[in-house]
Amino acid sequence: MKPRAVWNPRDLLSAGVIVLTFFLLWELGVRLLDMPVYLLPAPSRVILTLFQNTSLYAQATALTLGEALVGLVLGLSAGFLLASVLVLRPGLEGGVMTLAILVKSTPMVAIAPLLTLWMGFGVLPKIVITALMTFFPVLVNILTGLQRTDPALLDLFRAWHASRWETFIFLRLPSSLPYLFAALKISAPLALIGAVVAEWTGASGGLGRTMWLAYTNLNLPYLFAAIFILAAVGMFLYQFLAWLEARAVFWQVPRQD
Amino acid sequence: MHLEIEQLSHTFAGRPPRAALAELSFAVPSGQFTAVIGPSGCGKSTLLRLAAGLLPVQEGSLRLGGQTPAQAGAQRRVAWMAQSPALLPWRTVRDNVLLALRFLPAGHAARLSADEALARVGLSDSANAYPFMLSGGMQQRLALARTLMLDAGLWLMDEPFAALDELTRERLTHELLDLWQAQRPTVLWVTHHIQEALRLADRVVVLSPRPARLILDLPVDLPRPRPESSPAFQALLSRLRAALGLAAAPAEEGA
Repeated sequence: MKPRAVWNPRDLLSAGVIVLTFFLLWELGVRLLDMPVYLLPAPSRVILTLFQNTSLYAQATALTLGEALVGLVLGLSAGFLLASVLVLRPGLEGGVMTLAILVKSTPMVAIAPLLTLWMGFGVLPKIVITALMTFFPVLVNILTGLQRTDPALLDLFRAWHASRWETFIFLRLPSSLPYLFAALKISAPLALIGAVVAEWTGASGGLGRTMWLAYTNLNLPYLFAAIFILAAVGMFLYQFLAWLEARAVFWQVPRQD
Repeated sequence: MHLEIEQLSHTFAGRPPRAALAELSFAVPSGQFTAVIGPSGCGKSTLLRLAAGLLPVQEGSLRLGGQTPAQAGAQRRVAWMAQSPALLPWRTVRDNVLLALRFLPAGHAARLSADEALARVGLSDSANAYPFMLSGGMQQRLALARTLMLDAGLWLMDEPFAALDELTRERLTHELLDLWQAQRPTVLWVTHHIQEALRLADRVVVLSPRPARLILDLPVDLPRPRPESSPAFQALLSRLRAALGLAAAPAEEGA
């Protein structure tokens, strides 16, 4: 059985043509209008900056990506564990979800400077912010997935006298896999945003700090180079998750009659 | 397995409460194929769900071989098959059948091996396929294999072939009849299909609109196979149609 292709050559080609056209127009616009570099640098200038500072950007990307991934794993683990507890002990759902919505409604941009103040300029506050930002979508999606198990299958497991735990392991958990991937595809870009926003509030490294320094110095080629990297990493993460999903949730392959 | 229903009533909570069964009484002797027929929403499925232990008995009594549904279910003496084949899409055909064994209580053996059960329903060649690769009819065969494998004395079947096309449905009901004749479990078969009930069952129980009461208990003493054109079949069909308040038109009509 062949999982559905994520990197469809035709889609890649059309996306490539659109991006290339966008960059060409941008380049032409900047040159024709003689745009000052501190307002809008040409993409060729941004890419040149990127290649001239590969080591700096590689280190910054590794740090930000590391913070984002560790935060994502923590947010995912906490969301998954809590969703599992709520399904196995349904009486707790009302209270816990109220608290979760409270966390979700609290603006992380306001919390980030506080955490930096309390935890310092290291990676810890970045990981905490990222975990807090990814926790809610993971909790809601996985909880929905665990609860929306096919009623006919639940009847069958009840007729088999399967325990609540057996029903969870053999039925609810695999049934929720599509929701887990939906959560991951929402949370992965959020994790990157969380790490960058946390770095803006004070950090010793990372793409967020690079962007902040570039902005305060009006060095826009540096700023855009970091934006380009973030966009590329976000897209790569999303496509990787889609690729993984096609293999893990193989039964959702469209039927070919 | 002998099935005994006495003064069974069931009401679903709500505003207003919804009575599904009202003082329903009938018995099914061991090995009999009984079809239960009645208007949509009359409580046929509720009756089956009560027998399967999926709903608690509120009033009256329902005994399966002298046991409560929970006791009979705990000993896996009851098999349940619904309109949806209820298959796990991430497990292969063989693994879907094998999963049923995982929940057998200690000391209980399967009646057939997974491969034997698949062979009985003609799915040996698809043992390593996944359910989404199978047609609707094959998926129901797989559900049937799961039922065959367990050594259940009572098969509770809630319109298992209702979602299938007419040809597949016809073929599967014939196959089911063959399997029932070989194994002889007690069958309680809920259907909307009057002709199907008469072709398959030893007896047809007709229920009234909700709350379900018994309005006709019709023995079908005809040798199988039962051609629909025979006068005896037509006479029983007329009685069923009259009990269900349908015009005596020759065309088939859903109850």
